[in-house]
Amino acid sequence: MTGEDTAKTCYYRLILLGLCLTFGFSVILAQLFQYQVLQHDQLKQIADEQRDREKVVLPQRGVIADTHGYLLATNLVRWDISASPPLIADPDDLASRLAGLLALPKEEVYTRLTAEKPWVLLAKEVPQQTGEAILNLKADGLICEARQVRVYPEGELFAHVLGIVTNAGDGFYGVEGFYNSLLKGAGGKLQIEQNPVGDEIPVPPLNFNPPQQGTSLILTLDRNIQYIAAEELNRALEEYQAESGTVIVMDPQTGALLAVVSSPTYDPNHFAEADVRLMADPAVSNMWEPGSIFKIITWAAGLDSGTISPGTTWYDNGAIEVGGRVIQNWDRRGHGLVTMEDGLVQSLNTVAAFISTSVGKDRFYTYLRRFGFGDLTKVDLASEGPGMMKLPGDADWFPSELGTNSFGQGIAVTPLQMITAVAAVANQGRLMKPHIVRQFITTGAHSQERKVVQVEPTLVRWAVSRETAQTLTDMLVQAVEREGSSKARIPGYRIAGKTGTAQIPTAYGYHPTDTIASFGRLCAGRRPSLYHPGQAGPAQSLAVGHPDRRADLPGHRREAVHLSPHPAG
Amino acid sequence: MASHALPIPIAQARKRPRSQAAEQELSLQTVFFLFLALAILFGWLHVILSLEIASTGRQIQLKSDELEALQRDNNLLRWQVAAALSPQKLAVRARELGYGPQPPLYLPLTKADSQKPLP
Repeated sequence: MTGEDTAKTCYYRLILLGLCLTFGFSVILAQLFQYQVLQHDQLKQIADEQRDREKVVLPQRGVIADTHGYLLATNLVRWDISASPPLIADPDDLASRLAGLLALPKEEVYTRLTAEKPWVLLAKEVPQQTGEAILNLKADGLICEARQVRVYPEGELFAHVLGIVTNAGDGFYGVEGFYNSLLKGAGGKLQIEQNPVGDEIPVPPLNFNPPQQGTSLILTLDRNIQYIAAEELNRALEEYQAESGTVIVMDPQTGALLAVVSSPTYDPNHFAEADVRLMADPAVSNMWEPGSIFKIITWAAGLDSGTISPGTTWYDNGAIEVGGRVIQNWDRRGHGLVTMEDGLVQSLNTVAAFISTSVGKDRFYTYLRRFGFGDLTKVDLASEGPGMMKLPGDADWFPSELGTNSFGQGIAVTPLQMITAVAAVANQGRLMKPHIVRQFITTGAHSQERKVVQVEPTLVRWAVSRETAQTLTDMLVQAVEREGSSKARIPGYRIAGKTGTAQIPTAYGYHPTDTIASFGRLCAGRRPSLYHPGQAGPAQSLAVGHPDRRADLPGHRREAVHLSPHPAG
Repeated sequence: MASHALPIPIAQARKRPRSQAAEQELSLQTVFFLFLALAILFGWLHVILSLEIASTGRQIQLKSDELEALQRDNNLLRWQVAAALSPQKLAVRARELGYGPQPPLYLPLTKADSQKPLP
């Protein structure tokens, strides 16, 4: 082969090589075009998914405090401790260290750490300090997972009114249930980078959307009043061997609830162990026939409509027929010629029926509606019931109910409805919307700026005139001064009040022995303002309780003794 | 047999004077090294900055963890204080110390007292 042939061969080989390279690069370019241009979005998404991870940043649930700022509900961290046995280098050493911290036998911990499983649970809901001590061991294969739990420093004292928060972070009952979405806040998102094993790469987050922390609530409740109310209620329940009871203390001028106590109760810190029937707040969920305490409303209707005055007389022969039903007094006796004030003081059913029939069914039920019966009070507590009130025209309303309703039978109310109505009398006839939250405190997601929203009292309507309320209050003072409620008297204070003893309806008529006792009281004295010094008003505190089986409530007197000299301001 | 001409660039290169080719190679080398130096500089800067960012990120993360731990401790302490100051516990402690409910003391008010302005 000549040199010329060799050069020619080389030339062709170069051409061939060039073609091969061109083809190869073309394929690569085509692939690049395919990946970088045509499949760009899809592949980028896959890559991002592999590299980026989105972590949900849970918000802190808002705290709840009483009117003085004492903490009633807050959040703590509990740790769930688990392990991946295949990753543990020295199970014996780790078992001996964990056993001390978890207060478990070393053998038990060792058995779990050497189990042939990819994951084992060691302990749940470990207290914060123990969890952090375990975390500081920094042992490979040990997993410490923090979990937010709701705790209530006052335990049972505020159980009904606060409600509970489940492990999923949702509130039920009471304030927790009513304001769940506000308290809960909204979760944030943190976009981080991870390595192929899934560990977080310590670089600044790619994107961070901070969580909206839950709104904190300052309640109108005063934990001292709450405590005294609870003590007195428990004492009364024990004294009279009653099954259950409720005490509510309200500021009638604003509708602010100062104490809401019910018994029996439960510990919200361990609600899973409690009877679920105890969880609803009896103050807003339970209905009862109010009995004679309801006469306050009947007398208010009679006075406000001009049908009666305190001095109006009526001859009581012990019975009155309304709608074909004979209504008798509680003592089955006639009391002769009585004034309306006497009728209230002696709690005469016949006089109540006389008033309601004289007022007339339309006006009588209009007054009941004006006092809020048959409707929700719209208090900011979960699971409120509207009570039960039949109206003329309803299929199940009978004319005799005009008589029975006048002394609180055949009508069902919640304790909160009753106290709200009585508070209207104490507040010169103004019916206020009951409320339990005084302030909402919100912290911004992007700044630490606090926004405070104050809750203003809401006037629902005028239930009766100012004059009617004043006259009725004077009559109720007489009811305390002159008659059976003498235990409610407090020297130096002008107390207005009315007892009630309601029978308990059963499937076969009323229960022969058991009753529900109630007492509505207004402080109508010279210095009614316990918490707002300098303000003058007819009343500042009142309570309704219904320990079963007994009408007398000496507990209320003791409570009043505690309450009334409360230092102002 | 016709002779086959060599490709033109090779032929031209062969025809170029030696000094001119050397000069061109030198300038190409300079440009190459300049680019290499710049690339190394940018690479070094990139590594340093990345390191700084990663280090700062790590510090932020540690501080965030520290803040979170402090907040947890704060919450725990606030809870402990609230639980210790609860009226039930205070009442128990007061009883332990010998205090107890006293009978109420009523001060009789005269008419003149009742007409005095409130404090």
